[in-house]
Amino acid sequence: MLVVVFPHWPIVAHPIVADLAAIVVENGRVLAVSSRARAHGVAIGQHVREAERHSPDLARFARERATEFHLFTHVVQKIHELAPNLIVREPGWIAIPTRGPARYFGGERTLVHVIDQTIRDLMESQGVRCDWEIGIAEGSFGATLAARDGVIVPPGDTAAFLADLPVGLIGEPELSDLLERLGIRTLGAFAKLRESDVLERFGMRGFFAQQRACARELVWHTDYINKEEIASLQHFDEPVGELETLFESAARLSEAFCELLRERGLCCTICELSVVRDDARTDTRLWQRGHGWDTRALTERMRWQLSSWMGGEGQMNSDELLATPGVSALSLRAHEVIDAQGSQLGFWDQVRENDQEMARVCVRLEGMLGQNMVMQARLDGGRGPIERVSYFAFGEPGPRQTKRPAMPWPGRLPLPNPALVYGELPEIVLVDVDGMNVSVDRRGILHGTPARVELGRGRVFEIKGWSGPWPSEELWWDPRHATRCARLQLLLRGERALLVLCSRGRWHLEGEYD
Amino acid sequence: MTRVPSGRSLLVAPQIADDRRPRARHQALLEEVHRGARDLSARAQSLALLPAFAALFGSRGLRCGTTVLVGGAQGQGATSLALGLCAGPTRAKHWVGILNLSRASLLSASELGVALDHLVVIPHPIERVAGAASILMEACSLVLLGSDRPVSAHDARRLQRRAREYHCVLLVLVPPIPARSSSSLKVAGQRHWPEIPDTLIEVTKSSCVGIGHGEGHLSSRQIRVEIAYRRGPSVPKVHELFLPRAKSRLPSDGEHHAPIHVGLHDVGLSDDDLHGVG
Repeated sequence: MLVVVFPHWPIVAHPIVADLAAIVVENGRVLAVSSRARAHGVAIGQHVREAERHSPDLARFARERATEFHLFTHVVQKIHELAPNLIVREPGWIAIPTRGPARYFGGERTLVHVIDQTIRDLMESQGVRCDWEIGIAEGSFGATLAARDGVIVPPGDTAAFLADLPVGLIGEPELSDLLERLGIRTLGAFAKLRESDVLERFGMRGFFAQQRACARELVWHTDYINKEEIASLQHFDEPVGELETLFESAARLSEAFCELLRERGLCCTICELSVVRDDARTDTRLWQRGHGWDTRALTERMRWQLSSWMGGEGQMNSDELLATPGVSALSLRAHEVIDAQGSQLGFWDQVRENDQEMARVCVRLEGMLGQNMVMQARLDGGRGPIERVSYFAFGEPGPRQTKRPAMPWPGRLPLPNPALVYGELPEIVLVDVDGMNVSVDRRGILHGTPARVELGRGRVFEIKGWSGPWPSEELWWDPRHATRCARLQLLLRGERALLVLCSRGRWHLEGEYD
Repeated sequence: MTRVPSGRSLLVAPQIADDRRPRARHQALLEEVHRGARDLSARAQSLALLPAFAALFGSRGLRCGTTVLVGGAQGQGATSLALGLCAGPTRAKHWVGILNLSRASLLSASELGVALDHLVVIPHPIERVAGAASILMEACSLVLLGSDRPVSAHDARRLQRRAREYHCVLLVLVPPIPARSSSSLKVAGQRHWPEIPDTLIEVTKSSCVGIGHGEGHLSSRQIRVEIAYRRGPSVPKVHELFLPRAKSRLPSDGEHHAPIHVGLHDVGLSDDDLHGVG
């Protein structure tokens, strides 16, 4: 297996930053780093704050998955011309089964050279700057690590190649943490454990991880695939050209496809998406996902793939759009399946019909409203009512918890918390009887007796009672991020109760006890 | 939603025809998938609520498929009441969806007993409120619809019908009635929700407990609610509640399932009678 990796691909989605020290951030951690920032010592996986310490004028960007994908299709298209059986895992990662192409080009070394040159030409012609790595080894896990070092591992040597690498590379953070604490520090040491012990202690995921460490591929049900084809097909009587219609069909198709797999207790790790055009042309692409495709991820990939095949979202003028023949059929076919047991994330616990239904509904809602609109919430640590709730997209594992709720948080208000919060913190004016501004000093002492509050647009309310202040001082040890503020509860005439915040001498409305 | 005009969907195993899996079976499966694969009869007739709130609805409970309007004057506790009603279903592992209510604090929701692992929320204001709500109803047992954006008369009728169809409780939080206005929820709510709801809950009186002049802190809010039913006694029922229960020792909130009982005081009951309820 030959693997091409673009470790910093997400940075490509922000072309203006090519010369800046820039990072792409996801869940508070660094996902990709521009070459200049790398020279300063910023690396993937660092906390944003740590990265900023290395490089003070660092530009931060959010991830643009759709753009990343769209740009990556050019690379995929080019390599597809050399090796038609390529497999894409995500933007920035392609695998090619080497046997056929290597024979055609006359050896693995030549193949690597040809692909390297092709990518170089493409990147130059597109004006894109992004590093890539190529490696060959047995299995996609081994090949990805070989790509990291830029080596070609001879046949049969992959297990030896992996043996000295740290166990943290296994791709299961919780598992590798535990293994390290047990004194198992290399992939080789992990591979030497008895299979039955691993299975008993760490379950199916641990077992699969060990198989990877042994440079063995998972136990594929290829015979199953040979016996019965698992596929869903959507056929249109009239060719469809509108992307919206196609997206909706794609969502339904992936639902039906995943249902077929569920029925058989299987989980698809490589699936093939085909689009049949009105002029009988067929486009096909293989997509891999280590722990199997679920409806949500599959729908997302289909959306990207369709929009790139259909000419991109909003990038075509109308003439070209007319020239693109409509789609007469969409199909999904399982290329590689494994037993669903333990392989589907989120299905560790008992699967409830209820929850599956919710997942389906969320896929449809996201199709309608856009990505990351349907969220779940979790409580975090912190002091203010706003910072204590963090949102994450439905069905995702959620960001790493950095503020633990169980820690003591001095300065936190007593229960209950306000039912309404004002995320934008509108500015208000708090004055005493004489109309003088009320303030809180550095020691957290209130100066002046609150008598009236103006909530913007001249709405003035009389204050019946107040409690506080609750001063809170955060990160006082870090002068750049230190914040000091104080909170006050106000009871207005008419029994409205507000939570207000004083920061840098100004008052803000933070919440209402409604 | 756009539909494929004359689209036909088939689910087939194209290359190897397998007689044991006739096409009709695939067709049926597909139809089931398209319908959203739901078994309406399996749903309970009324929704589980926290004990305190269950008493609010009396013997009939919070009936599935009904539309409930909740409202009151500005800042009098209607939001807490609506969030509190979401608590029971999430704890019974039913899904609850919240939308069109971007200011709602889910921290407060979890303090009122909502299990966040069965809550989905559309936290930002969206254009297609009615469309999103009707999709949520397919999987949720309760949908809380806020008042960020107004809902048209047509959409209100459609949503109410859909709630009945999907056995989902539609809880509509009506925008606060300005303090100076003397109109009741029945009048003010009609502008926001032109359909006649099945149940109308209005916070008519409210007072804060615990705030002094620089001392103490807000510990609870005592509210009086009036419940009127479309089909029921013409005189609304009156209840009083504390949100959350006054004077009770509140648990520290490391755990987001920490039970905070909302103490319910039926008018005239003493504190001792309540321990059986909460």
